[in-house]
Amino acid sequence: MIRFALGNLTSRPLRSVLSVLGLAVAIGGMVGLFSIAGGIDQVVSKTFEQIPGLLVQQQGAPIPLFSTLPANWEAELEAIPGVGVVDPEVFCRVNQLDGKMIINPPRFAIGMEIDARLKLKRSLYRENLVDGRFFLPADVETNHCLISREISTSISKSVGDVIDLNGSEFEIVGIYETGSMMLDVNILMDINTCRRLGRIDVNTVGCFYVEADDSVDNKTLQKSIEDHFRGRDLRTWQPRSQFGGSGNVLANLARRLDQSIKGTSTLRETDEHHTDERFKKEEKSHSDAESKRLPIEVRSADDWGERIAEFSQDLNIFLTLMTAIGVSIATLSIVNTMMMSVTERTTEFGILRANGWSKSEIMRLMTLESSLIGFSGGMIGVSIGWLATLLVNWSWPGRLQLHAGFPLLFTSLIFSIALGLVGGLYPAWRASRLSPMESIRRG
Amino acid sequence: MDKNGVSNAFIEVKDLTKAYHRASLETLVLRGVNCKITEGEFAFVVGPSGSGKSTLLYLLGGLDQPTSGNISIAGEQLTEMSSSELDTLRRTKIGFIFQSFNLLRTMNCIDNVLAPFIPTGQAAAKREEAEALLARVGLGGRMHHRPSELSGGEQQRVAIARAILKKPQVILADEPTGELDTETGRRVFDILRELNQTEGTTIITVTHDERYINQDDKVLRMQDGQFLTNR
Repeated sequence: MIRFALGNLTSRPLRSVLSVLGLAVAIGGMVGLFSIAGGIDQVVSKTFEQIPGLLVQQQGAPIPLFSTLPANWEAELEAIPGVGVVDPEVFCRVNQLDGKMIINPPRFAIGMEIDARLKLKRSLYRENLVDGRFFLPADVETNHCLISREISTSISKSVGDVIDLNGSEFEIVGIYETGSMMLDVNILMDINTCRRLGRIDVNTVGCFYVEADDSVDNKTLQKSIEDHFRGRDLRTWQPRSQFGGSGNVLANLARRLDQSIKGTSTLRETDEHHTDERFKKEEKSHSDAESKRLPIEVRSADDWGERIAEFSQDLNIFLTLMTAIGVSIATLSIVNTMMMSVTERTTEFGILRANGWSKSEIMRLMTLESSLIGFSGGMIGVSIGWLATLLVNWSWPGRLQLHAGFPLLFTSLIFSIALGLVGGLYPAWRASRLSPMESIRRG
Repeated sequence: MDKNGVSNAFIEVKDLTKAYHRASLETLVLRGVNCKITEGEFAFVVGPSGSGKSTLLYLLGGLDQPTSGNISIAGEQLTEMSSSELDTLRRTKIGFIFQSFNLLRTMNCIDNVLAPFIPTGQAAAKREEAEALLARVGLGGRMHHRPSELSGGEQQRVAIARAILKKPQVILADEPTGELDTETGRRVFDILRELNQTEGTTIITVTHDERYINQDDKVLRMQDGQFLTNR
């Protein structure tokens, strides 16, 4: 039957090829679109599997870049049972690198407390060093930095070279490569150096990276930290600088937008008078709620993964809608091809019926032919989609990361075969309903 | 009838009518046809175009349903058979030969002969038999040729091989020499007569051309949807 079906398809090569190509484009597009979500998932897993510790950041901040916490909470964190190392971190966006404006991919300066960072049992940048050296205690307060291999390649600078970040000169002492697009955009430096670079208040940190000692697991430690800071009100705390934080206009704007959407309290309310009045009123009426308020979020790698999976699911809905357009057109093309085939092969169906073929066997033949179109289109589409993701990843390594894994490719192929099958059902039904006598006489 | 009054006809047609409807117009193609054909008989249905001969042939093959009346083949009432029973009948007991050969153009000779058995999965098992049949009709060297590479006579011989591979009880031939020259037509009828004599296959042929009718053959003359004479 398959040989017969193949023979029928190859006997009308141009039409079959056009139909296959129509489907291949749709399936290739589907693979390409869903590889975006696949790429995000891969980046997320690649990123967070390398971060075994906990991240303590401001409640409501979507990422640590938009978080600001009091630096003096470091000592409190260190005192919590089960805490091994606390590494405070600050962030700022690098707007100019070697005099050039940076738009995309973005570059972030991460300031870390070098002494604390050296105490970590697992330090992803240290573990992924590919050239030069990691920070030493002597690097504290210096303009020494580590950059990723991706940044190094893009600016053609290596260990020992000097780079200009937002107008300040830094010496590259090491090059790392984590393989994660989210991490390889970072330029690492001492915490106070980063504060100066971003004009960040000395009493401020972006977040704390906490590594547990061997006495507790992350879940327990997470709860202990949350319990410790529960009821603490960040609204009464103000850093010295008016705008403080990262000094990053974009980050501040994003934070304010985020806060206004959520209706949460602001960390740095500029209108102090308004703030004080409101807080006094609120404190009375919400005393119970205040005691339960949590000014921080303590996130493990799994929490980050879940949060990004939610975003990924939303993205999938959008991608499904986009794919549906292409797939609908491809299905109509199959229906059209098969309907033309039915019209042309009326006599053939009559002959087959005269030779004992049943209606269902005629339907089987037709749906097999359309499924073969689906299979061929699927194979070509999946191959094109897969090769395209490799090409995109190779062409823009630091900007895009697409991932078309086996499950996506296999599902796309099955989907394509199913489309072929569905596209062939109506024409097959029409073919099976033809009167054998009329069909033969028409020939 | 035998001595007990039971009909010994292999094929029996009783009061058969067939009408076609186009909008409100009814065209009566067969008007109460009756006939009997015994097993192993070589029968011809002759008559002018539009007399209803081909319609009768297709109704005998279960390819269409009569408006009224009955057809029985080997004691089985075609009008009472389900669609799948009719499919089985055509696959196992009835062979068709058409004027335009009606081979499947995407298949070579051997696959055309095996076409009835493709959906049942028996094609591979019957391959040797099909090859022998093609050799028997003189196409042993052209088994892998496509219909477009064969002459009309060769194509008709492939169609005959396809019809007889199932060892049918009846062969229904619709103008089998209509597109062939006299000599090729004669060879086609030689094969059919040999089959009739050696296998005892009942053969019913619809034709305009009476050159191939023998003295002993049954001849049914049709005109305007009715038989004029039975010989």
